[in-house]
Amino acid sequence: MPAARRDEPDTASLVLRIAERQDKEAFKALFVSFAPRVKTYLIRHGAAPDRAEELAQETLLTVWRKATYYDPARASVAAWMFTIARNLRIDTLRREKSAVAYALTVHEPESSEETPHTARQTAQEAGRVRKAISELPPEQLQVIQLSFFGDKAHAEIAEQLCLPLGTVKSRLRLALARLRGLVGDLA
Amino acid sequence: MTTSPAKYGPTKHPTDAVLTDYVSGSLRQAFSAVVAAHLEHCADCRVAVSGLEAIGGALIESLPAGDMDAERLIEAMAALDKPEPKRAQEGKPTEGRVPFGGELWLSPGMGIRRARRAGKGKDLLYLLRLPAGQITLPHGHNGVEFTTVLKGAYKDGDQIFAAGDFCELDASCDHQPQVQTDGECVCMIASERPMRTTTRIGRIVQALTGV
Repeated sequence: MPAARRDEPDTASLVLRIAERQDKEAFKALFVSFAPRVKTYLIRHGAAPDRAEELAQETLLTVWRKATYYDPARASVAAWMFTIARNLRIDTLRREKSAVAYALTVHEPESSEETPHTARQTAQEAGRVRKAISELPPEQLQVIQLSFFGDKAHAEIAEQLCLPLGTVKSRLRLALARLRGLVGDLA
Repeated sequence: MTTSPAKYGPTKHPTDAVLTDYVSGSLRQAFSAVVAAHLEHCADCRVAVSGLEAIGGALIESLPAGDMDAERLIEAMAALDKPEPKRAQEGKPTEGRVPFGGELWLSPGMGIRRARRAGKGKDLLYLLRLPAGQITLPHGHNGVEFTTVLKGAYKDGDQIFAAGDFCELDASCDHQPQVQTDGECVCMIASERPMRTTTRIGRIVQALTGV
C-alpha cells in the first residue's frame, strides 16, 4: 500500500502553506496526491468517470478556498478531504441538502478537552489507522469498505451480501473495535 | 433550537452502525438530521464521529489512484485566482436550520411542527411537542424511526429518554411513550413510513398531521 509510506506531516504542511501564503506549488502537490484517489472514491459511489473527475477537482478547489479552516490538530488531511468529498457527493449526486454538512457547521468550535492532539499525533494516528485497516480480516474489511464506499446503509449492505443484518453489524463492530483506540474513542 | 446540553451528557446513543452510516453519508437526510441533533448534545459521539472520519480518510488514501485527465490539474490551477463561483444554494451549509414547515397545533401546548418531506422517498422529519404527563396514543412503526429528545423527557416502558438522548426503533416495536410530569417534551423525529395507529383517534390525528 504505497499510500502508507506517504509522510503525513507533509500533507498537513501543504495545506498550511496554502492557508498562509496561497502557495500554488503546495496545491499542485496536494492535487497530484489526492485527486486521483478522491476520483476512485466517487466512482465507488456510482459517479460516472467524468463526473467523478469534476467532483475530485472541486474537492481540491474547496481545500484551496477553505485552507484557513483546516486544523492539523483536529484531523488528518485525508480525513478532512474525506468529509469535503462526501459532502460534495451528497450535495451534487443526490441533489439533497446535506444534513451532514449541517452538523459539521454547528460543531466547528470545540472545547479543548475534545482536541487533546497535536498535529504530529494526528498524523501518527492516521498512519496507524491505515496500517490497522490493511490488516483487517477480509470479511471485516469488506463490511468497512462497503460502509464507507457503497452508498448503502447497513440494512442494504446485509441484503447485498445475503447476510443477516446482525452479522453485518457484528463484523462492523469487530472492525471498529480493532481500530478503536487508534483514533480517539470510537463509541 | 435546543436547550443547553445536559450537564452529564446523554446516556442513550446511536449504535456504531448508525454513526458509520451517518459519517459515510449513506443515511438519508431526515435521519441524518436527527443524528446531528444528538451530536449537538453529545461530546462522546462527536469524538466517535471524528474517529470514523479519520477511518474514512485512511480508506480514501488506501484506494488505488484513478486515471486523471491532465487537463483537470491545469483547469484547477487556472481557477485558483478566480473568485469562488456562485452556485445556487448548492454546497452551502444550512447553518443549523432544518427545513421545517409550519407549526400545527393539536391542543394548547401540544403540537407538531411538520417538516417538508425530506428528499425523495417517504421519509418524514418533524418536531413533536407534548405537554407534561401526556400519554401518547398507542402506535407502532412500519419502518425505522429515529428520535432525539430536544427538551424534557419521556418514559417508554422501563426506560427514560431525556434531553439529548437518541432512540432507534424498528418496525417490530409497538409502544406508548409517556411524557414525564415535570415539564413538556420536544422531540425531533425522522420516520421511514407513516406510523401504524391502532385507534380511531390515532387515525384522525394521523390524517391531520401526515405523521
